[in-house]
Amino acid sequence: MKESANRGESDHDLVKRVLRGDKEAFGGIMQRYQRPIVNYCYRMVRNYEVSTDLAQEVFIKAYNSLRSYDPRYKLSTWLYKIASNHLIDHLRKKEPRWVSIEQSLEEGNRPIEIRDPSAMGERDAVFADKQERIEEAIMRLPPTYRRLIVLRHVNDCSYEEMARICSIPLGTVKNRLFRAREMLRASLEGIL
Amino acid sequence: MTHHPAPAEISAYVDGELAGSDEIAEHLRVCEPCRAQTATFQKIAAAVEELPQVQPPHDFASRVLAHLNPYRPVARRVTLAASAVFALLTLASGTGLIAWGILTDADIGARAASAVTASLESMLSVIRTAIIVMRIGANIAVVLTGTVALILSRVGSVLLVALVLLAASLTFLLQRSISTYQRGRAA
Repeated sequence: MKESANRGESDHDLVKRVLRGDKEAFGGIMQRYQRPIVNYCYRMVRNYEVSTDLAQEVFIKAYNSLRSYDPRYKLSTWLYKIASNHLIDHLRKKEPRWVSIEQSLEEGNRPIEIRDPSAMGERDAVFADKQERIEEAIMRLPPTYRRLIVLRHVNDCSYEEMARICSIPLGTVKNRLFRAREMLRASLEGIL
Repeated sequence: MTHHPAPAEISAYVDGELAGSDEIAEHLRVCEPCRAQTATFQKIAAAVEELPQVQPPHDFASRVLAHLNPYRPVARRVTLAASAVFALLTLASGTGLIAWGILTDADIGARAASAVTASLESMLSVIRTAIIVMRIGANIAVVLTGTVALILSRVGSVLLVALVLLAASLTFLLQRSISTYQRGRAA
């Protein structure tokens, strides 16, 4: 892969090269976006193997529909949109039973399993335990709320980008993020 | 701002995504409950952002690339599309030629038979018979080649169709010339 050769090129230039038949140029696109896409998938499913498989499928889907990419918008937004739809499909298949927001808020206070701290330093153990609880709290969010929290705080997306990625109005982004934060606050009572 | 902002507004304010955020900032200076809520949202944001990031496997990109086929350049796609259109037109014209032949030369078989008989009388008639058969054959070949070109949509097929069309045209012209010559002799 010509990683260094791709460095100075814009995303759009790389897309044009791919469409001209240069498959390797897609490697340049992946070098830029594989980490954010894998992390997005990981925070949505919290399983490394599954998340890398999903991310690979996302890039294959993106490659096969590259002609439909509109260069007026950021390539990252387009990739996140594909990833988002793919993840929601995956989670729908995995989780036949969806919980209501109210139910989720109530369940937020249930006890969370704590890891054995004897294997690590006390300070590390406390920190790891806190991270574990945050991750679990995120995983308890309904997928449509979880993806907004992840897109905002892991992938640093703006509200406008999130609206485009999730195909929802800006006002819905704002309200869902607020609700997601309320759910997290309820789940993380006492550790924040 | 005298009233409390809606919690969703505070949430958006924490993200720096709120128009008129100066008003909220002003309100927060004097309102302890709203300030506490802002702090809570900021802590949640920080907690999620502090989570460790995972690294993709080192062979991630090469594994994906192994599943991909290169795109065909646009020029090649245009050529293929043009060849498909050409093949379709050839197919239509070939079918039209045969239909025309059947409609206008309903006794084509009889003419071919009489031409065979006439061929015993003169060499020119033999050639004429051959040309009639060739004409029918050329029309069928045009249709068949057009079909193949349509299925394969390859540049080579387009050339083949062009050659068959050329042969059909030459046959037609030759037939006309011989007929004219025969009429001239008869006169």
